[in-house]
Amino acid sequence: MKLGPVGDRSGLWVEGAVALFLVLFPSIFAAIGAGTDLATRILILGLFGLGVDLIFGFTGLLSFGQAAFFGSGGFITAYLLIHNIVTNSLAALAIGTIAAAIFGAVIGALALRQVGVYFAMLTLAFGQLFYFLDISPLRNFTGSENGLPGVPKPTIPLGATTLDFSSSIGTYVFVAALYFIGFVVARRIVRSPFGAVLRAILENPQRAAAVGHRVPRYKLVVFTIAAAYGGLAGGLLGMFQGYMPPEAFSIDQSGEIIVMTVIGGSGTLIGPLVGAGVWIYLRQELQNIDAIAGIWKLILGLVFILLITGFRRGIVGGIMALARRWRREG
Amino acid sequence: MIEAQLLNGVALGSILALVALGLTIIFGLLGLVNFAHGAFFMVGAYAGWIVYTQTGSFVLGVATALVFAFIVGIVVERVLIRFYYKRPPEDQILVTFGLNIVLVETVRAIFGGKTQLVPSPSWGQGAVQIADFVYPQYRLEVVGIVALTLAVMWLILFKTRLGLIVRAGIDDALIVNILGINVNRTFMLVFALGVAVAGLSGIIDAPIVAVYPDMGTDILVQSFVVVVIGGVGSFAGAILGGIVAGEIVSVTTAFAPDYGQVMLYVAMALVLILRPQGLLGVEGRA
Amino acid sequence: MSAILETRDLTKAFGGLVAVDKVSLTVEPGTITALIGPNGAGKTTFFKMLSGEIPPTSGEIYFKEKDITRYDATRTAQLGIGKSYQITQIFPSLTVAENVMIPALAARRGEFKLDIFGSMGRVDGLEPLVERTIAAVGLADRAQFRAQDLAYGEKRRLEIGIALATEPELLLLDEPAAGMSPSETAETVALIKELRSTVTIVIVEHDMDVVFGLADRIMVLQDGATIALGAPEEIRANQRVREAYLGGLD
Repeated sequence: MKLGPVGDRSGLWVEGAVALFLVLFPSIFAAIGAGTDLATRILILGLFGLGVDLIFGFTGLLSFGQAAFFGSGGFITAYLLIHNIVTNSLAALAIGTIAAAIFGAVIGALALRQVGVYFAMLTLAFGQLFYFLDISPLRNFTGSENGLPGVPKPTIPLGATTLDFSSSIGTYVFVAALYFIGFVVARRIVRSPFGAVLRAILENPQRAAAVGHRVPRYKLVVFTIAAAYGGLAGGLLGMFQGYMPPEAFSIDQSGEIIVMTVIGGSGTLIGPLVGAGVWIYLRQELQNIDAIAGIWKLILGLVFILLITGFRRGIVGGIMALARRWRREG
Repeated sequence: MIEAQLLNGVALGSILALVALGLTIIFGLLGLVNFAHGAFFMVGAYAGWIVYTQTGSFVLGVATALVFAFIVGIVVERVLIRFYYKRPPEDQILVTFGLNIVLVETVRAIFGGKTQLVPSPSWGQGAVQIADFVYPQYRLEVVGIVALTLAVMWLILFKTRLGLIVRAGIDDALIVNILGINVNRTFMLVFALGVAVAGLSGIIDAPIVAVYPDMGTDILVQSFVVVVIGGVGSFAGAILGGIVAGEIVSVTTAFAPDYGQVMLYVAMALVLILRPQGLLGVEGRA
Repeated sequence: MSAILETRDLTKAFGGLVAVDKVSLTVEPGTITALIGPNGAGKTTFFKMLSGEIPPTSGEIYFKEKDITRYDATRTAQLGIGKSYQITQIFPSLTVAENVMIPALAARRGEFKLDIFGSMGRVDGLEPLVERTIAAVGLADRAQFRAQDLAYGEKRRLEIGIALATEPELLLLDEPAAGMSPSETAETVALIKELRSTVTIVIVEHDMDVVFGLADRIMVLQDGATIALGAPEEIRANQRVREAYLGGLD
């Protein structure tokens, strides 16, 4: 019996398909009248969502405070670049990501003492803590309600030459490359023995512990990894917008990424990308229709409720379930 | 002025206590953490504000807030919440979170995002002389109104059949089921009661914080912290936690204004490390 | 040959209620010991202390002469004590093979390993362990089925399989025949008999046919305390035991 990854019967074609999609994405969007910038924004949130999917879709940890890491990574990266402390965008991102991961480990160590609803409540509260830290005591670093303007576009100085990604498509390429790396890494993780244990924790955490897995440590590690994804995405947001907003720390941001992940389909890794695409694209399109411009969020909120109630697996999850059924009956 | 801040702490804390009480009743009996609880706070505030500005009677506004929030609670419970009692906690959180979005955006669509100032009621205007300083009269009255509400809540919880079921159910939800009590109707009433109290808190708080669509969000998170500090499933804990939380925020604001809100979350982290069940919580009630 | 498991005056009190009262038991390797008693006798609580799920109030537990009294469930499992549950505790959305893989991963990788980029193929001895465990519980033709789609009897066998895949030296079976038809029960008994050559077994059971068909030794609990301990014939003849069970034993 050949043992493959747990819960995942797909092959490397998935990575190939994603790579192909990333290459075609800007063209697809141009064809439907959306811009490259919109595609870049979707990828950034998709990257954020990879981490959220790892903890929620694969391990069952519902955290409402992921914005803490999105904001931390974003602001640290932005600050380093704005003040020329670091000129290499990748280096700044790396530092922001590592910092976010450290915050993830600390918050995780505290919040993971609880499970289920208490855990969710605690992450919400920790998220708020970071928001208030950003607005008030640390305002000299973070610009408080004004945020940090002047974040330079991605550049990589290489001695003689400098790689410049400041054009719209250039930024897209930079973000897409990092998204792809993030995706491949996430795929490796869920298909590894470590990932198998995560899935066991999702299905039955007590039994997973009872058969000999040190569940709290697995949870802490994946929570830290998710924080890293959040921090990286936050750093990219600042570069993309040329501006790092305090809203990156808000409950709205934490809630949004959860909504995107659920709409797209949790436990699928590409779910958050699809969910981000739906959310961001619909937000833009609905706001263009005068009659409903003011209630786009209300509409999406109702869609969200409907999905959870009747269509829990989300878009990608639903498609995968259909595919499984066809394969069985075929 | 430390005395004024201490009183602010009580005023804020009493609002928090009331909101947390509603939250803990719903969680205690229904096992459901209502992530839309802040939205009901907001809905009550808006309902009360409309009636208050139309009729000039704050008392009528308060009554409206209570009744309206109660009715919305009934509707929401019947239409949505009751299908989730058997679903995993994560789904319950997600659906109430979605509900939060829907309620807030509905109000925003109707009233816009503008902050509406709410004048204090005529019997609450002006300031009162206390020792050597002056203090807004309304804030003191808030404490009184909350105390009155808590007394009524106590009567309901400890002197009525419904209250008995709630308290028994918090101890052991299975027993309530076995005893053949109409769980459906009880759950509906308890949910509506819990959110009605939140709505009441909203209109009471409105003269102090004004009325705007997102006003429920901060309260929601703070009430979570209160429940963590005070202890889940404990009524006295909600009250004690509320006062403690209110004081932490107010006193810290007096000395280090930048850290007022931050301190609250630090306190929560400390409680979590040193006494995870909260000040008055029951050990192992998870 | 020294005992594989020994408890000394093991006690569990919940506030004023003493659920397990100074129970001392010695289990020899390669044997099957049955734990019986009326409802509320403390069997489940005693079992939970053995598996590390709840901490004893007083007394000690020794496994292969090592004091494991304070060990939690994860450590106990890693040490070589496996447990199957009365109420089936499987991983519902995963296949049978994956269900068995999870405990096998713990047995072969230890309680934690940061192999986030690793693969199943590189886990030493994983495949043979999973294969022979699935075969041992007779689920080879169901290996790719989702656990939640199995019939009840198959789920109970998977339940035992999960415990087996931890490569235990001591296997605790909590009412393995619970809810089974007579033919399913017979199959379960046959399975347990096959296992006895590889693993020491302690079993909690209500079905007296199962107990007397399998056990080398029987311990009888009532109100948390041991009222009899010995070979099946002795227990059968024991007056106190007869009285404890209304209607007596056959």
